[in-house]
Amino acid sequence: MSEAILEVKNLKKYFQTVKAVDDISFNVNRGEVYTMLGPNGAGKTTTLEIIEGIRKADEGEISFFGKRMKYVDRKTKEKIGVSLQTTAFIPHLKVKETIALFASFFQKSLPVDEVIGFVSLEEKKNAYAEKLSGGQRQRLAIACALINDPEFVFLDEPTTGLDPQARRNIWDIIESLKLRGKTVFLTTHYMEEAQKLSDRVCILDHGKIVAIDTPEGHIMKLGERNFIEFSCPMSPEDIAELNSWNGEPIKMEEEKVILPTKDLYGNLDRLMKWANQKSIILNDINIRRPNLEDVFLDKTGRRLRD
Amino acid sequence: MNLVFLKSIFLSSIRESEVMFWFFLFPVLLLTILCVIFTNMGTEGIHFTAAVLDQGGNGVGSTIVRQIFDEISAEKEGHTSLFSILPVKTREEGERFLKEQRVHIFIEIPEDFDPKFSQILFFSRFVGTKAQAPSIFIHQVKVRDASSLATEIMKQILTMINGEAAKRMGVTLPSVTVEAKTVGAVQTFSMADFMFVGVVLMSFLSAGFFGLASDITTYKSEHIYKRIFATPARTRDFFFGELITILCMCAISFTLLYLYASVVFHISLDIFKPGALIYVLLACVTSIAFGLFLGSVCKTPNRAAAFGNFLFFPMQFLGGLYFPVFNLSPWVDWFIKINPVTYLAAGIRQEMGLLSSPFKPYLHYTVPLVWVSVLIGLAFLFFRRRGEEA
Repeated sequence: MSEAILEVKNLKKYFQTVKAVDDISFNVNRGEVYTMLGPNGAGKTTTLEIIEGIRKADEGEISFFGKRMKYVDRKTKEKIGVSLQTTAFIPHLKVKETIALFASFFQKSLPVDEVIGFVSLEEKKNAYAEKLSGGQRQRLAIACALINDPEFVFLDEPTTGLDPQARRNIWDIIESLKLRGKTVFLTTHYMEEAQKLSDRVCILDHGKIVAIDTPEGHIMKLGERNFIEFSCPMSPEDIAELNSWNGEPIKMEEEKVILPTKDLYGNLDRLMKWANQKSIILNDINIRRPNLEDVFLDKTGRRLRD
Repeated sequence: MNLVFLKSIFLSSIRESEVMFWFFLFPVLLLTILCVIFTNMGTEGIHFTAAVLDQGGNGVGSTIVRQIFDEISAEKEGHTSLFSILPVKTREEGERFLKEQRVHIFIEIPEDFDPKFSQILFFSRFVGTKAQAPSIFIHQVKVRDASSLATEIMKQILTMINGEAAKRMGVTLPSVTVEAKTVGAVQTFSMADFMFVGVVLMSFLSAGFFGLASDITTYKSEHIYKRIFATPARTRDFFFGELITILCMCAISFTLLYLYASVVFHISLDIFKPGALIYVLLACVTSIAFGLFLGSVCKTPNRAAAFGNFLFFPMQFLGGLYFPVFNLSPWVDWFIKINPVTYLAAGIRQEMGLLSSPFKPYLHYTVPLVWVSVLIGLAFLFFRRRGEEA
């Protein structure tokens, strides 16, 4: 049985009338990549900042490394690494100086050059942090989070705003961390990132946990179904007709129609005949397996990017 | 103590091009500009105020002197007079006005002026022998160029007494002697000495008002604090680093300015006098207290800069950094009296042997220290209340 390295019970944080974190409980096991997935404003960062010891919870309890605490103490901070959503550093410091500064905050730290090598910033080690690209800055933030060789690493939206190549670089780093046996707590609003990297995904919306499971587990719970997507102008009568096919309503995104189906071939054949009969041209036809986006849509009625 | 933290904050500050300009280059430029302007000031358009203690009675000599004063203080064809005459009742009052820089010179007509003047007149006209010439005393503050200038002009004017006497009495008198005395100042003075202290204080204030406040608000708004304090870093290490950095920057700025002013303007201040150094340190601490306060109360660097400028300019110009701030309108006099910079500037100048301070000695320390205590207290409260936002 996996050992829970972090246990959070009944955590609450309110900002005046806004329930940023609304009575959530979960645990993170040693060595897993645990992802908190949710749209902007779901409460991911607030939850993370409470666990990291940056914010104080209104209520709730945290148990970190088997030790119960109201707030994360200095001793616990020695064992965790944090990369915040915003990657700001003390201005006018070079990459190696910035990492050395973070090393000085801990009793034990890895050699600066080793960490620079791990995040592939060797060529930039004498560059000023503010001159780095978005992806390089994010790698520097991760380097600062890893300098104390932490057992538990928090990565708050590490790929937001990055180009695909930079995003893949970060994914490689996270996978390397997993291989080294580190526990990673990741937040993201990219479902493909959560699906690719996570051992378990906690879906958060409006400060509440909607579901926790492995990515496959979430998808399995949607049942054996696929999605037929196409674009065409639809009248209300057309929508009503398609809704009646599977007993499950279609979903509309502007001109894009998403038809959930448990009988892929039957419904595909029926759709073609229907379009032919009505002289409708179906554009951009696509058949896909369900993903975490569909899970989120299923649980909340909204898309992640809404 | 985390020395890497201290080094990082220092490097971060020193590598900022704006810091290099405002804290190191700008003070040198400002000192140059002020010295060039004020040490080469022409007499055109100058107006002096002279306090006059007239103890001379109603004799011929005193009458001539009063007529001369009336003449030079009268406005002619729309032109402002060269002198304003401010009668005083006692020597102490005249000297006090001079020390407080309400007047440029203090002229004392002694009690024996008329008898001596009559005596010399009598001997010249009827006996044909010479007697001891009567004297008029001009008290000046050599620290002030304007005071020295006024003295020289007044000396020239008072030679008119001889001309008047000759015209009225038909005799030529031995000259009335005009004796200048220095009140409350060293004998060697240049405007650069005065300006040096002002520019040093300006530079120190900039370090706190803009350097420290900007750092704190930048770290808050960019979430750098948040990132640092997600580690086991201690708050005291951060503040220690910031404070030492500001002190170092003040020390560098002070040294650069002193070297420059010594070589170029030949300043002759006793900067290593312990009392002077204590004031310099107090000025740094006061600046840091204002920086901490601004940093704690403002959320962004822009707000800190706006609020900082709002305080910095009145404090600077009404603190006597570049010109005397006595005898101003009551509307600004209250500000001058609560402004810690006023006392710091007066204290440093006095300790460096430049100019007597008109304030009681204990005020030089207590007013800035009260400000420091209140500002640090407020900063502490704001940091505690707004800590989580940062």
